[in-house]
Amino acid sequence: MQVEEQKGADNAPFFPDRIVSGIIWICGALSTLLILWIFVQICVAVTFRYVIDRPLQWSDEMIGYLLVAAVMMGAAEALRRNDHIAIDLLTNRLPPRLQRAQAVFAQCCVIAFAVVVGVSIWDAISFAHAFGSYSVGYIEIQTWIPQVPVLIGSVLLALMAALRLSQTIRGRA
Amino acid sequence: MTLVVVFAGLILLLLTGIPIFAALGLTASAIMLIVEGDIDGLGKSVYSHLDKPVLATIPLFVFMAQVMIRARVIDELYDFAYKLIGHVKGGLGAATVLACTIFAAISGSSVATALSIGSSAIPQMKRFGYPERDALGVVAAGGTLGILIPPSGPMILYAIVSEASIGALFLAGIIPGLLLALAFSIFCILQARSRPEIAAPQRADRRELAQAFRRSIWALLAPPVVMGGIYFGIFTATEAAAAGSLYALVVAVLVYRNFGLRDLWNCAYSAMRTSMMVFMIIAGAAMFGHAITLIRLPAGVTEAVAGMGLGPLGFILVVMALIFVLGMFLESIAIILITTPILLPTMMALGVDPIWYGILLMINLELAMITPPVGMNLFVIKGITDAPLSTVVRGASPFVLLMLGGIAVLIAVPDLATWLPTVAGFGR
Amino acid sequence: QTEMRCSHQLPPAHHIAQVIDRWAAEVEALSEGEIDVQIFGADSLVGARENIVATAKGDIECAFSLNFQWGKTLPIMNVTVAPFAFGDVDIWRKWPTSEAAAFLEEKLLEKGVKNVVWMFQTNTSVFTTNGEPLVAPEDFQGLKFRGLTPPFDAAFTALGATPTAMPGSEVYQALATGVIDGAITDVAAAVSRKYYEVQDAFTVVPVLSAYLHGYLNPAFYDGLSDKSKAALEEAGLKAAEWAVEASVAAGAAGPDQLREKGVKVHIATPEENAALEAVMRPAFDKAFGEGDAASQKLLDLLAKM
Ligand code: NA
Ligand code: NA
Repeated sequence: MQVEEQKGADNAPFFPDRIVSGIIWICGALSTLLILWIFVQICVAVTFRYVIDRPLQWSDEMIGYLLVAAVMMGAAEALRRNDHIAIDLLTNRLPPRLQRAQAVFAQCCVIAFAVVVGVSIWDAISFAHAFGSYSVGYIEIQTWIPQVPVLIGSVLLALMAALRLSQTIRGRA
Repeated sequence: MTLVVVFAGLILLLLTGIPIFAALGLTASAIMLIVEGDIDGLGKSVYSHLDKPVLATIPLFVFMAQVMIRARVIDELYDFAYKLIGHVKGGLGAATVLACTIFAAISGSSVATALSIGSSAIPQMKRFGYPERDALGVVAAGGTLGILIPPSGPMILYAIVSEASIGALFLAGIIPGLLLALAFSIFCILQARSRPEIAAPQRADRRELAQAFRRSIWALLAPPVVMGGIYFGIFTATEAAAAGSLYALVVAVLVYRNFGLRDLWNCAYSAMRTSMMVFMIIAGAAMFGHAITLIRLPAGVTEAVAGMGLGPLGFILVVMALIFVLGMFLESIAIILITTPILLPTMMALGVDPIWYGILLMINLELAMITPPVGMNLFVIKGITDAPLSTVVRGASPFVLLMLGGIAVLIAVPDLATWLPTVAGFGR
Repeated sequence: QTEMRCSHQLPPAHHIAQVIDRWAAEVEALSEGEIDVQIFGADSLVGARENIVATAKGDIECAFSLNFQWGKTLPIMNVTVAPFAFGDVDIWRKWPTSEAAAFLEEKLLEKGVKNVVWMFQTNTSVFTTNGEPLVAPEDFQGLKFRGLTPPFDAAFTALGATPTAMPGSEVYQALATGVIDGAITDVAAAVSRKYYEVQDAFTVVPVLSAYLHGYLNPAFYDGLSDKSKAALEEAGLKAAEWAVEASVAAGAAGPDQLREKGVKVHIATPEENAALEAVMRPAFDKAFGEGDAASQKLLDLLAKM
């Protein structure tokens, strides 16, 4: 399944396939970098606390923000690589034609999920922006800013699922 | 009634084979649309559940494990374990449980434990003739010890909601955790006896054993680095995960000298992929938890239970059954956050010891990680092996019975949990 | 019957959480069942950091926040956080009907929430550590302390301590393992969070005053009947009194509860308090920034009380 999918993306004659896969791969790489960043930042924070005796007060809050960004950048890449888990107890036994219908349904569900998250976070972001709420703590920023990755992430997730959907309908995946 | 509708809907959606995060999120959306007429707050609940620094332990422990595996550091540990007790039939299964127990004393998360031990133990066990199902099962179940043996993220969470002592809870988890590990090991040995395909290898001689020990020293030192860091107050859990990763990198680059930039990238990339899968389920569970809390579903259920007029024992049995059912569908953090505040007043009124209940809850949450359809350890093991979920489920199912036995024993003998904290001077 | 969902962050056993439950019952009774109050405590529905926005937006109808959780969103709410400034309990007894409270309620409504109840939570804090209780400013030299807010941290730094940020859930373990050497907390919380298990020296000081306040979504409030509004007002005034009683009781019982656990408890004398204030207050004021006109007006109103 994974091999087929890769081939599907690499040999794709369709213009959007490669663009979408490319964007999502780049975001996945960004997510990987964010995880390495978190790793380095924690090491630096520990060093500062013990060696220089000056803890990085903002470190924990920053890690929270970075984590949200990492998840939202990486979720679509995980979808592209078929990492997300589904209960395959029943669907494994379906005949091929129904399996295709199932795949179409599954991608539509992912798109619906992304729309729910995207629309509701957009609602939250725009309200928080108008309200002017600030985070409490060492990084006093407007609370809508760290929520923006959730919006981007849901767009990426929807894009990837849409690409899968079109591939399934075209008979590729 | 609502309960039946909600959970039947979720199960139906899960059985259609859509990703679990989507099933949880869409069930939540349906509830919100029907009850509230809008989906406001769902996206925010995703954000506020992922915005937790302590979650950084998940990618970091995966990363640490990946580095140690790629540099072939973990291989030596299993070689040593194999030479030490491999000649006992089923000894490698027991060695895996032992490794999980040691790692559980490092990590506060069952997922991290299953990941760290699983990605190295499974190939090794398969190499020594274990059927895939058994190998996956023992890691999925052994990994759950991560939250029962301290330190434990869920215990801290429970302690905060219930205002029970974290120190007492940590101590209370030790004896049940070790007993459960012992039961798992004995089961592994018995199970292996019934499997002719598992070879009974020769006993390694002294020299070989010493050699294996010397080679595995870097892997054996990893737990003390992380565990020592936490117990001696050098690191918080998150920092310990980073320190463990740094230790793994240093060993790989300076001692094994087989680790380049490309390896670094590959380890980080696979840590990213595995953790994204976990994080998205946390996201879906956050939405689901928000929706059912809003319609007071857990409150309704527990109020009904409280209204039955049960004694402490009956109440605990009903609560355990309820959490077992919730545990089939929800993730442990959500279960703690949803049930504890509602159950606590009734529990206090009945005179139930919150420490004892906390340990029962932890074992039940361990169970939740290996019961289908939603079990984080099942998913993690599936994620690192590509085996069908059903294989992992079947492999883990005997351990479900063992843990249920563990709950029964702990209900019968509360001292197993409460003795150690009492001796250490923790009041109630 | 109108459903009113209220979110708060306190654990169920907290003395103010119990006041909230009592308030909810009172609102239901006084409104003769018109309002159905549903309390979601311990962050179970909406997290502590999200309560304000979720209520203003209307995702939920009602929430409770600690004053300093307004942070930069409405800085004037933080005025009472100044070290040693509002330790006098009489201020809090008069507070709910004061001009100062009315002024803050107006500011809150301008921002987008309708305040309905003030619950004084504490004026009795403890500095915790191991060894000897921290009394004089010099005792703080070189200690790692759990940080609170940037201006309060500046006060710690002025004492020579190193404030270290960490989530509340990690404090116990950090104290147990020595990641930090001490913490400041409300005396009742030091008991309920069992800090006495990991710290053996406590200094009781009136350094911090905090209050929890309950507020409604304004559109929701406007849609209520006059009877319901009157019920909220009456229940709010009653609950404010209950909160003072409960907090004074918890604050008074705290030191003895700590002593029973076998730890050293020192109650700071007025002279000792003055010495700490002399170091902490200027640093706090400097970091808190020059007060804007509104903050100054509030301080003037408070001074009149
Ligand atoms: Na653990
Ligand atoms: Na489960």
